[in-house]
Amino acid sequence: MIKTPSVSRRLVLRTGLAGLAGGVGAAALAACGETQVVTKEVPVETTVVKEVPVEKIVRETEVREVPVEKIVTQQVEKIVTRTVEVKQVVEVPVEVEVEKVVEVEKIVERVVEKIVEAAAERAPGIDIYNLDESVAIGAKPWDPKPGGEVSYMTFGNPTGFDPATWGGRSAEPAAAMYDLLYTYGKGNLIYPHLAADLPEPADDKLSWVIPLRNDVVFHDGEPFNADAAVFNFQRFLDPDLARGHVIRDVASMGSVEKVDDFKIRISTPQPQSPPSFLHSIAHQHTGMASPKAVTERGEAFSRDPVGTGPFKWSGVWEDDVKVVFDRNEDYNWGPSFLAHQGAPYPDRMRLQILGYNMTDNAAAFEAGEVDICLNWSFADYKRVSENAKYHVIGYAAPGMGQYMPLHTQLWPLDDLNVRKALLFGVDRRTVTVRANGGTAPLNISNLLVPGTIGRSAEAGKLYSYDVGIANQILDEAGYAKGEDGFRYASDGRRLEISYPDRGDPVVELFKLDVEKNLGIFVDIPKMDGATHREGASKGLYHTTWIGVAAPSGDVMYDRFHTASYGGANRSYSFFEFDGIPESATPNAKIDGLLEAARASFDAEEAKALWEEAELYLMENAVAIPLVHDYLPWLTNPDRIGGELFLGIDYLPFFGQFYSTQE
Amino acid sequence: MAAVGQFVGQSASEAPVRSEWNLAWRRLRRNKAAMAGLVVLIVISLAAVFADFIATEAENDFDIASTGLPPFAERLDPTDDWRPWGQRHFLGTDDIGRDVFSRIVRGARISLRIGFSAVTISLIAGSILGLVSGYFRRWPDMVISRILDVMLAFPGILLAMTVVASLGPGLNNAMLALGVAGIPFYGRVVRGTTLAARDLTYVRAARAVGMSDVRIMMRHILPNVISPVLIMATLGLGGAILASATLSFLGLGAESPAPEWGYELSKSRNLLREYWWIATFNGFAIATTVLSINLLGDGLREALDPQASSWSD
Repeated sequence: MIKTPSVSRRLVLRTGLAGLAGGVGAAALAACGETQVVTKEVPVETTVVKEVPVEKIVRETEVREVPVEKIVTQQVEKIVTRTVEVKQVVEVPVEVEVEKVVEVEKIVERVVEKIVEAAAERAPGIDIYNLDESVAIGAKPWDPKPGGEVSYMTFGNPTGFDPATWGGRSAEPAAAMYDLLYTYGKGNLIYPHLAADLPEPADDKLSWVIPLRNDVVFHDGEPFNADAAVFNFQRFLDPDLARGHVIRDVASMGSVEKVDDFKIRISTPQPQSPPSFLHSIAHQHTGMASPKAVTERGEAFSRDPVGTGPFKWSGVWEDDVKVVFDRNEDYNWGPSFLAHQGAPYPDRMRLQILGYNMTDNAAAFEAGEVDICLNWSFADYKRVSENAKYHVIGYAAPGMGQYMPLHTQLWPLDDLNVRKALLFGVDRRTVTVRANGGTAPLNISNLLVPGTIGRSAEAGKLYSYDVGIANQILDEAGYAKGEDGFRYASDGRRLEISYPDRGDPVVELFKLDVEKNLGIFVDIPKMDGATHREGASKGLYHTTWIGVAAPSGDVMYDRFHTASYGGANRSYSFFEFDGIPESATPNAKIDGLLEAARASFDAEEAKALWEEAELYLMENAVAIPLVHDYLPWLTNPDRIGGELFLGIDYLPFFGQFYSTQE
Repeated sequence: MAAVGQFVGQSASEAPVRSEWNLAWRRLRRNKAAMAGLVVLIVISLAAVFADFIATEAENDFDIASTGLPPFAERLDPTDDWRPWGQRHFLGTDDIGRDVFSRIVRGARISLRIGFSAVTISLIAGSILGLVSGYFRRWPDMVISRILDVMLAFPGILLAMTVVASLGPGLNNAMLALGVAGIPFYGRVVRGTTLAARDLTYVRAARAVGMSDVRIMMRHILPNVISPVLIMATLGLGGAILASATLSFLGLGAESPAPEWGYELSKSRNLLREYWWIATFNGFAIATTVLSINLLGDGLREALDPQASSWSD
């Protein structure tokens, strides 16, 4: 039909296009000839593709850090309380002991009331408890049914189940396979678990003798005794082993030795107060593994684990899908504070492996894939809590709550006036609304939230939320507002602070709030967690956002003592830190206070020292406190029952669950 | 078809050069889909230009009390705004109480700017490389073509991600990255067309009378290249906007609190079950813009190169 056109131009165009297509094809062919060039590019592609998951992972890692911190510090608290009790039983008249215990309990109660009230006001549907309380799932009475399966979740493939080497939170649910010498339980007390009793300090306070239970066996039938405990602690202390989180727990220990078949002695280079020592052992990362299995299996042990816990590995581990644990029939050495010390009721515990996304997490919960899970996404837990089918349990934790550390050596935050202006001028309710939906009680002027041992009432009087005062401070300090609405120093520099955006829920609102109300420009460069950690440990950024739960003021040691500057995961130790760990200017006063408190055997003295330290830190405006911290657990009473108790590590005691499914 | 072909053939041979474009316009006007695309694109462009006038709130004017209001919700803080849509959150509010409509309207600026800039970069750089390569042939052709081949070996978005990864995230870098990623496509097209055009009689004649190479390229070869490049650029604009949204979605493009559509989509996807309207309307904005540009691009291709389209029909 179509007459071949006589118009050459169109023909040319067509030829051009065809030629172009041909050219591309030919080029592709030609390029194929140069195979080397093409193949060389392939690795580059791979690298790029990898970046996306890395970013996600990293973000998740950040999230994971929060509970870890909580766990660590939580141990301290329990230890404190327990130690006081023990010590007083030995040395002090009974009356005094009772008095003190009551006092501590009062503090705890007060926090609980406060937080519960605040939450009831703002977050209907979320049950809030103190971290050391045991909560009946679905508020139903204890009515265990044997059999069935309970499921929990983890993010991404577990890194391996060897307590000495695991590093990420992904492996922690496997703690159901391991037991500790000591564990922290209800009422802020430390309980012996695989140990038979509390440890005895030597007269010089440089070593501790720990008696062990003699009725415990590993999943492989090997007996648990002093040899096994020494074997495990020697692994934890072995610098040649690629150790994980356990490094932090054994940092203060020197050596371990066998005393007799059921007694071991742990020595420490420095005298340590009981809280400080017990802090290390009553921790999920020091789980006891079978020496025989570790020796025989070598590196394969982390994927073929043997412990003493209520659950044992079933042999099912499907990457990216699930890991299944079976009931340990022989188990009868659960710590005494738990409702149930014997073998767990369910036949199986399934660890469902999910992606690195909180929304997936909630979706899996709502779809019935997991029976109980921890969640950080406010939008999700708000929706779930409004559903009468579910029971959302929030755990309020003492400690530093959520806060923003300030780099006190970096311009313009090296000027105390600017830091003070931020403390007065940041609208905490607004900047944290994405983190908690406006449900958490505010923390304006204290590093520590109420209920934390060593919280200073004086520090609480230093600051209030008042944009007027903030701007007045900046005006008086000579930072005048320019035409663009931002403030400028007398040398013409614009006031600017950097807060890297790692996808946390505070960063954008902080920028909007501070720029609008204070005229300080906030730079929020986007970066992944690894880049951020590296930069922050070099002191490149002004601030970030952290949540740290802890029982006592000892948590300040990890953040503000010189020993913590620039350390891995201690990038938030900004105080007196000029960016180079070696040349960090020690602040003798704060170092002295925190060290003395840590070594003190007198609980009242330690408390006073922490109070003084907190006051000093807040006078120097080293951080912007934001809100109390609590993390909600989503539970489905139609599928799971029993008691939810979060141990030191913010992980449930899995042996206390039973299946409620028909 | 035949009639059209004949008609076009006649006009092209008899009418003055300028009427070529008139004809193309007439053909375009008859294409309803393309006209719809053009109208939508004009509306979006106008919205971008007059965003400050259309948007009811500043893009980052947040109000925690107004968090998550659904579309058409009334403002909690009534103003004396005279605009009929001024008293309502036309498309709802986001998770910190910002007006979604205002942000989307302002986001049009970013998306169109990034699209146009990226295409301009690709078009100019690609055209120069293609012209040089096709006109001079021999070793310049060899060198340029091999470079373009290497670039073509990467998927475009991957190349852009590499560029962003090395320069750091940000709108300007995303623009540059997409621009660079688009260069080889324009380069190949222009080279092919140039190869054909350089042997046309009048080009040879121009060379014979001693015209300089640059002048021949600009006066005689470039006009031959314009039609296919224009079509490519139009279609590429949609692709660039989509790619920029992709980059932003992956966290490599716009940074908060910019109201870039892809970035908004990324941020609000976790809120989809609570505040569906944020992701939905931002996604709709991306889809509408890209669709309108693609329709217009297809129409342009048919209008500027009817023969190719009748052939493909």
